[in-house]
Amino acid sequence: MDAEYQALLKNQTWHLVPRPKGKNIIGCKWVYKVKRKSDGTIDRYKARLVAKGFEQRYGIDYEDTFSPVVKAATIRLILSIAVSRG
Amino acid sequence: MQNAFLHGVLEEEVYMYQPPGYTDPRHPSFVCKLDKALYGLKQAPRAWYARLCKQLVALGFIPSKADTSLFFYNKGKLSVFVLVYVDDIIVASSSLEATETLLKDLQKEFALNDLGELHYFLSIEVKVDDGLLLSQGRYAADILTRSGMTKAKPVDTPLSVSKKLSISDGERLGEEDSTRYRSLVGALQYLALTRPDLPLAVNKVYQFLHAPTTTHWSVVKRILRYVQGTLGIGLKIRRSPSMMVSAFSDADWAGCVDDRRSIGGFAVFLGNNLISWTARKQATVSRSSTEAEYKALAKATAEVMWIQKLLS
Repeated sequence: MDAEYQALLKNQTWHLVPRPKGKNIIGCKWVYKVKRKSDGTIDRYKARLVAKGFEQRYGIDYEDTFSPVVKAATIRLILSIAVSRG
Repeated sequence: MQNAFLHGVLEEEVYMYQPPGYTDPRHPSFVCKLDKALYGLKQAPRAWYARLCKQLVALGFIPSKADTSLFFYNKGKLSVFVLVYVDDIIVASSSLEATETLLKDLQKEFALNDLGELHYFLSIEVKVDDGLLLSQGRYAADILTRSGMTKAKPVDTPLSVSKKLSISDGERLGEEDSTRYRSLVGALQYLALTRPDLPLAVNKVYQFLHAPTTTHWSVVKRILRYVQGTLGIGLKIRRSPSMMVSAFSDADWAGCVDDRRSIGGFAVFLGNNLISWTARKQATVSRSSTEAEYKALAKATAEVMWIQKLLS
């Protein structure tokens, strides 16, 4: 958890400011995961800070959303081009 | 890509309470004004995409107009393709050197792991032998385990041809079984990524997601038994001498007994490799089988145009 926190600081994910008036402030929490090796033994414990995005309001706190998801046909097309060109 | 979403730069003003356990002792009442994205934010995937896109464009890549997740780079004989699936990136290139240069360039900006040759992505296993074999055997086996069908007797076909399914067949499933039905049908849909033999059957049972019955459930079980007997099969991609795009379409006029709409489908090939297919209920009622066939043909044509655009 400390490592993740330090990484976030190093990444300059945020800076501290006095609480602004009239702005929506969202919460966050730590999510813990046990990472296992392929044989099932514990590899390490991982913590990730996640923002409570569901507290954001569409049109006020954010506008557009998008996720880059490649179409299956595109993958197959590129793979066939790759195979054919060698 | 590690911690992909943390690379995204935020355009919007987002304020967040300080993380639990890490309140700044000097400014306990202050809040965090986010400059970069965090997991969970609505705009996190978009911010990440913008950042990656900017980086690839700076390296000379052109984003495809037909699929936003495809980037290509062409210079003389050298061509490199980059496919983005959120934080998974696939690079296809005519030269190993070019791939390595690209990875080095990206590593300057992002923390990424090179997984080497493509052998597993998005639950698809890739085997190299005289071309590529794409299969989802492991994923299929998982579905069977989840549904308790690992020991089921296999059948040769996914769907019975004699009986047409209706929304009103059988008894409504309970809440819990309905959820199970939806989850399994969704999983089967994903299995169709490498299986052109499944979409027709899966699309049939997909029509009843909102109100599944015992009859629909037995059809799903039949599909699972078919999958059980065909675990090893997948999609073969061979070296093709031709790059011609060709398409085949068909329609089953009034194939849906409930609303008399037709089922249309097509298969598109690049050279001799099947790359795109679909089988689904048409959006409007056709008054003749010819009309239904034309609609299927139009859909196939649209797909061919899209693929041509993707290639250009």
